[in-house]
Amino acid sequence: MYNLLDILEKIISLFASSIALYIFFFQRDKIKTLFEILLNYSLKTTLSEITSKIDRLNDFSVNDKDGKHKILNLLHEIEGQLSGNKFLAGECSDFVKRLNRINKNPDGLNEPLKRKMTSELREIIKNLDIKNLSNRGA
Amino acid sequence: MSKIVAAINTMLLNSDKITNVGISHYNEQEIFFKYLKKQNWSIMKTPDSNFIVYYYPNNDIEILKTLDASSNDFQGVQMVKYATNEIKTKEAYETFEELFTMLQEKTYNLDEVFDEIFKNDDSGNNNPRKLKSSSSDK
Repeated sequence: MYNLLDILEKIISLFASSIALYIFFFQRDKIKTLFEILLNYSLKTTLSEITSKIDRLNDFSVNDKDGKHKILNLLHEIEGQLSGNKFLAGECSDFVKRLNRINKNPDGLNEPLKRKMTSELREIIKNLDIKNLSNRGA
Repeated sequence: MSKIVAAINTMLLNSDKITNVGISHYNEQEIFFKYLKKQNWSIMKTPDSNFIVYYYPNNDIEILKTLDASSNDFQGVQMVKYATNEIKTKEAYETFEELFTMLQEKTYNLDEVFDEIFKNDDSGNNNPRKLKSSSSDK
């Protein structure tokens, strides 16, 4: 009944699915690690992007009209990056809420408030970086 | 550590809660003050233009400002020290600098000095409202 091609096809698919099953049951940890590394990598990229934005926040002053505009742009970007990442949004939900309040009401923004947010954000990122590293080490 | 930057910016945002401002009797670059009427703090500008903020958990600034740091007076006085050259961020430096200037202004009653300048302005455009109406006449 079966011709040779059919039999060959069945054998190959049996072989392929047994590889998948083998990996699923016996190499699960390796796959998990691979995904974790990828996730960690993307988180690290986001964190370093935010760090560079913090440095740019320091280059402008709220007291200058052009500077304030640039600062608000950066704050909006940071808010978007934090709330767009599920993990980050959970880690710093309170900070994001306050940042959102500033972005909605930019008239209240002044230099001390900007510096306060900047230093808090720097601290959050530093803690996340350490957490990240210690997770990977474990 | 850099929670201190956020904390001092909060002080700057609530500057009316800073009281009992007084310069050290031995070092005119060190200014003592109270926050919330009970916390004892001081800030010092070093000769190389760094700033150091001290918090004193056990001693009252009214006594501390009469002590000479170059002698043994401060022996046994507990303090927590935060220096800009240790925190090393731009926002920390700007924050400490603004606090120092603000305390200097409070010490020398700069508000009154500025008021005096505006009151004795003979150019006739010291009143913002007057300035506005004259420009709209044109």
